[in-house]
Amino acid sequence: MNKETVIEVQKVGIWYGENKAVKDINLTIERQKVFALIGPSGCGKSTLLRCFNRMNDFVDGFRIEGSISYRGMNIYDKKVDPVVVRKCIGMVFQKPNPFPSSIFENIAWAPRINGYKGDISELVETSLTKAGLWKEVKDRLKSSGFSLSGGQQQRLCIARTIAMQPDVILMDEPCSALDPISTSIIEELISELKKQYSIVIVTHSMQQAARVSDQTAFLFRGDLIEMGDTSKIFSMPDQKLTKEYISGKFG
Amino acid sequence: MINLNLNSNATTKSEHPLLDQKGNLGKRKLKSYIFAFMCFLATVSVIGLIAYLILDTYLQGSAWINADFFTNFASRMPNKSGIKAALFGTIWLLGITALFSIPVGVISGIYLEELMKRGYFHRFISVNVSNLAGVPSVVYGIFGLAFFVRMLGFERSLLSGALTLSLMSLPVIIISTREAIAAVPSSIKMGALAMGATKWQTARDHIFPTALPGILTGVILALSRAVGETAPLIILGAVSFLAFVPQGWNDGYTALPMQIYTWVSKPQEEFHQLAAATIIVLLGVLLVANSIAIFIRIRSRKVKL
Repeated sequence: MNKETVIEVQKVGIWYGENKAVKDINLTIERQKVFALIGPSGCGKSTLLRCFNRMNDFVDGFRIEGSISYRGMNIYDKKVDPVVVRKCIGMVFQKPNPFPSSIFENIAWAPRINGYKGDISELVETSLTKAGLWKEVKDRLKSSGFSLSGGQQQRLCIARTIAMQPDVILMDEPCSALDPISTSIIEELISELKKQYSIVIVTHSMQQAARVSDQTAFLFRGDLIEMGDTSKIFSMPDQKLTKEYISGKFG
Repeated sequence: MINLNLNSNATTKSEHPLLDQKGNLGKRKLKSYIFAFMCFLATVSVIGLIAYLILDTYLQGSAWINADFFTNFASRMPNKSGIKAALFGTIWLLGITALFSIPVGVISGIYLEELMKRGYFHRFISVNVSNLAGVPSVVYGIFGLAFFVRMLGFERSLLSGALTLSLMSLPVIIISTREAIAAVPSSIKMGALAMGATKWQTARDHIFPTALPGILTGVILALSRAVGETAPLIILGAVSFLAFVPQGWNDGYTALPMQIYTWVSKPQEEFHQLAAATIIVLLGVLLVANSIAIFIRIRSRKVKL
């Protein structure tokens, strides 16, 4: 196993106007691992995640200090185009958000606008296969993405992200709108995907973090309380606050 | 249609709890019925009024609508009068106005809502666009006379008229475009941007198609209003009697509302009936234009949200 760092967060503070949502955090995210961000609502975990592909650029009053490096390059560097960042670091959202078009088009769109040279149909098939959706939809690629169930829609969104051939996949509570069966399918998928991609997942469910992730960071009110191997965080955390949170005393 | 059941208190026997109608239920239901009836009344009165107007116009004018009515020019004699010049003038006006106002309005709307940096300048423009939507059409006519007719020297041509009507339509088109775009779920937009799309690609492939039905509604509204306008055309010097069909953008013109206005102001009863017939044709033109837009709207909705 190589322990290559893919994202390095150094002294990152995030501001929304006057409000500091994330306070001077340092994190290291390794390649081909699943990294979970946990913590109670409003702790800044989604805010931090959205900085990894510069989605916070669209929020008014957003300001960031410190640096987030992707393979050694600060993604907030002036020379870096956020569009390119988002191509390398894909994102799956909390609520499945397929485009209002066919299943095929949902996946083919991003490669096409990014100037993909190969065979698009082939790419659609491999992406859907990787997302574990091919068998279910291969006979109705022309029907609307909205005709799928919630769990299928979320896998479609994952397939769509895979199709742009990213390096890192960010997942912002990808199962919070799904039923338990769909959730377990997606969790299996995450374990499968980490063979090829580095995954950062924000989750509300501690069980989910324990099940899918290799490393976990616990955030509380914008501070990073503890970070380490998931097995350690959930068995013998160093901090009292972490222990209280994972044992369900608050949150 | 009102079915009140206020006698429920009369039942003295103790009944099943689901059948118990004591207390203020009767009063609450009465209020509910009154509200529903008010809504019904308001709707019926509006629809009734419009139906009456259309029926009245139809009864007055329908006898005059025949082939000659469309192929003759206006004349001193009612029997020989037709609306050829006015009909073609209106079609020309509608066409040129659409040509200018739709692209400029829709693109401005997209820019203001989606691309322009929010700030004082943005707010300044937004407020002024909203204000312009409320400016009376006569004022646009005066502006058109000073700017297009005199300053730019377009004379009393179709172009002056159409450009003035375009200006008048722009605020409505811009505002409805902005509203339609703002109504596009941000999840779609964010999804597209997170896929490494540029703002232009996101707008072209996702925001614009999703907003299209709303945009078209605004366009229909604005153009319908423009086609029915008389006041600015009078100021701009649209001709009331014209014995030729405009051949190009720099020709003189008249339009259906102008023709209606001219005929209504004549003393003879026959001309009033001709005006009624012209109103029917104008409504027909609007209906056709709206149908085309609705057709496009339905087609663009092929993929349901």
